[in-house]
Amino acid sequence: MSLLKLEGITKTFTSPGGRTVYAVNGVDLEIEEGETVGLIGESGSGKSTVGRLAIRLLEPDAGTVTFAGRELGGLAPRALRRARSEFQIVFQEPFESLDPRLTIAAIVAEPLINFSPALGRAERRTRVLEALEAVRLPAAFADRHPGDLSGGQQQRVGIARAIVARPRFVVLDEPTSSLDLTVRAAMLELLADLQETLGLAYLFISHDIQTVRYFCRRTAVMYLGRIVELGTTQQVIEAPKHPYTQALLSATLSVDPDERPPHYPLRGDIPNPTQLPPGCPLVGRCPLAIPECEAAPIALSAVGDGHLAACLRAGEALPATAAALGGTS
Amino acid sequence: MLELREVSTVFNTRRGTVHAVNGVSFDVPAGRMVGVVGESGCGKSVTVRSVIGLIRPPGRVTGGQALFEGHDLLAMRRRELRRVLGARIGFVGQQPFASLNPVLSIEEQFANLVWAHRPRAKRPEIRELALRKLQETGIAGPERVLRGYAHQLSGGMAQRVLIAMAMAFDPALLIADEPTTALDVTVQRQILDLIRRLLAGGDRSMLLVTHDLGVVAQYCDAVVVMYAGKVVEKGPVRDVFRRPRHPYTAALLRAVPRPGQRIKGLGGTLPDLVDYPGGCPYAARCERASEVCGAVAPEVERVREREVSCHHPALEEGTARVAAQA
Amino acid sequence: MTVVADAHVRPERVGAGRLKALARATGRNVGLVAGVVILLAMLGAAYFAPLGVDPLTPDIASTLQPPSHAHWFGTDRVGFDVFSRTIFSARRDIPLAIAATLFSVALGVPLGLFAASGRWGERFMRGVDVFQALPTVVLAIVIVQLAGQGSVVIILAIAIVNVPRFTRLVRSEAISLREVRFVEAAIATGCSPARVLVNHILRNAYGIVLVQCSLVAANSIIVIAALNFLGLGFSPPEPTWGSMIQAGAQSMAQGQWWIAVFPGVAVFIAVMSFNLIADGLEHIFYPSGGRH
Repeated sequence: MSLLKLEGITKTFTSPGGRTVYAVNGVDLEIEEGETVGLIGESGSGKSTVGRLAIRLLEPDAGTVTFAGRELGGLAPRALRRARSEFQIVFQEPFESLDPRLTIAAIVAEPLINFSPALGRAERRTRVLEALEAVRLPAAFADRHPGDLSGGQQQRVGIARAIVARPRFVVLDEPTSSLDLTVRAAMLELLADLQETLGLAYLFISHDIQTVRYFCRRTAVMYLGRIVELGTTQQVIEAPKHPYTQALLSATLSVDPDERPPHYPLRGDIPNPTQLPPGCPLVGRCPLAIPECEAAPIALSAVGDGHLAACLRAGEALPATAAALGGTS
Repeated sequence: MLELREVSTVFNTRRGTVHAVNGVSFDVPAGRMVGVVGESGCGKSVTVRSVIGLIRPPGRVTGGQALFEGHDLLAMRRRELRRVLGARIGFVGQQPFASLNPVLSIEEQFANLVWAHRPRAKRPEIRELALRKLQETGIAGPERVLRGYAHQLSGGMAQRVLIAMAMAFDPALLIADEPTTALDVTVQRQILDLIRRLLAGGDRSMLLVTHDLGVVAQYCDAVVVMYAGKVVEKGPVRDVFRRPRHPYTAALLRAVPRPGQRIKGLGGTLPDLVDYPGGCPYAARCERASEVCGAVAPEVERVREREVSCHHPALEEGTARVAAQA
Repeated sequence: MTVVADAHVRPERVGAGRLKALARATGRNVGLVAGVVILLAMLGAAYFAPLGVDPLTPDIASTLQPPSHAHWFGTDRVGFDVFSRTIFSARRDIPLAIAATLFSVALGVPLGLFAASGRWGERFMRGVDVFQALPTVVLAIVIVQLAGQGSVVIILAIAIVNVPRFTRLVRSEAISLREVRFVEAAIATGCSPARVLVNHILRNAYGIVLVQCSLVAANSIIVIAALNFLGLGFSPPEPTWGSMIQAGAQSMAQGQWWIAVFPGVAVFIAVMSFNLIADGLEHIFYPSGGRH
């Protein structure tokens, strides 16, 4: 049985103009105990919304979220609050996610106060210091405020808060995208170590394919509220079947100046999510689109062992650009 | 084309004087694309902003030269500098929407730009120029874009509009400060391809500031690596990325996730730029640091097209031979 | 607000370092220090200073004396010493203003939190809008007229008039703070709505509430003076700045300026002090001029 199971999750918002925006449109996803699933997408893909729906920081309009066999939608507010000790989140914005008026110790202690009210003050302090040590922050930081810390240190506090109550699952919502390259690498090392020692399962949300490729066992690719491709990271990134995945991967720039794979450009920008076609969301930008793509929703279907793609022409090669890459030298 | 010589910029803050840029020198040769990389706080953005007169109090350019077409940009009066900027040097910034005026139509903003350099320009010719420039950026429906306002554009389209404006007078040099950082990867690729296409042919150059090593690797000819307000290493992109000589460059490249390799972060933090360290600014975090590094600032070592400021640089074939002969 | 009393609400103690930092910031803040010192000096003088002359007994032999060595601020038409009465009035005016302010905070803040939550909040605010459209002083006058005179009535009148200010302020703060990422984080870490309210929203809103308090206190000084000017406050011989100004107003035309001008200056100084405190607090809580 999987640890987390999303089935047919849909979430709409109302735009200021009163129109319905599909942020997430019928998403199914399962995460096993202790595994890392990557969720890749560009802005507007709904990936962060999926992360919040998975731990019920948002209520889905339709569909169910089952965590460790319990449907979260059926829980009363108090029971849901108690259940939260098992699933946590680390946010993209390290500073904004920490209350500026609290000390680091008070921030990290908050889950313990809520989830283990029986814990004494001294015991709580010990647990807080342990968590700070686990994220490799000096104990002296305990009595400082978030504003005194660097971005990387703030994100470590965010991680300490997420793990202090010993959850089984953590949503990592772009935890490294606001950080510098060398800080980001250290953060990924830390997250990998914590996963090993604490046996955590992660949903790793990112727009950076290189990071997901490095960090995740399985990967889902989202575009305009739908998962368009899902499989092991190797399947999805080394043999992508959906045209969007292919285009996204080919837009990634290698740091090796001699590694210049072909580029498969999509037409135009990501469209406005208030005017979605009933069929494939990529239809207006896809070089492979045929009339059937527009008519009806396209379900994920198997293109390999455990490898799914939502495309009528899955696996067909995209036309590459004529323009050769490379500098003038 | 553009030569920076010992450019220094400071910011006066309550805590003291922040030495944001500390004697930076590099060239942007004609027809070349030069990337300046480094992490936040390294001074890359302040460097290019110093060159084009965008430093405002409490910041101050305290020294150095920026020679462009025979004139020192840093010594120019504002009025002269404005004549060069926009006409001979184009600039594209990081936040496309912050650079567009929300209450003026795109055409109006184009007109203001043109009038700043050609006060007698007539409406029809401005319109014709704007349309031509927008078409060159491959924007869909240029007439409609011209009539519209910034809020009607997507991030990628807004950046195309700004590139069209930067290229309005066919500048010899385009300075781009993180032009794609705010954009999605698929759009980033389109914009970078566009910039390269517009600059191709002739002697036009680009100075590109970015934190993204992939952008430099794929789009630049030469790279300048900055750390704590100083240039630590520079040279042709392929050489520097293949065989980094400065330990910081090596650490940056090791931090990039690549399949089959373990990434490595960097401990420690940037030195305090108020209390600038006496020796090498990277010494405190460097795995190769020795006593001399903390005490004496390293000289620039020049081998062919490459330069490195380090007491213990990784050896390059050429260096080894020179050392053996000496 | 029963939810606030939820058993789970146990905010962590504010660290000593924070208090020290606040004390340091306060020490550097000239305006704040000046405001507090002036107010304390006015109160101290009112209660403890040897005035020499009894402010409550008129010297019938010397009426309408201009400022002199014997009567620094002169005397009024009954023979009261203007100096001692100006100083003495602070006993009434300042504590009353502070009490009224505290009372309006005590009512306004919980109402603001209520107005920020649920669908009744929106409707409640429409009522507050109507209430706030009435002019402050006129409303206070009506309440005092209806309820009779005395300090309790004045405090209540001013408090009621100022409640909407706090309600509106706290509501808008709470609504914008609710969207902030750290509040989302608090919910994710299992905080109950009450705990989110007290430990995160109120904690981040109290700075601006304190600033508003000083402004309301300043305004209350003026309203109290106005009520007393209209004879709706305390009855003579008990002096207040408002009633002194009223008494002096008639003499002003005849050139006896000192009777009204000195209490007027006292009102000005008290209001200024509260405004200095407000500026100082704003500087401490929002140092860069921006908020959050």
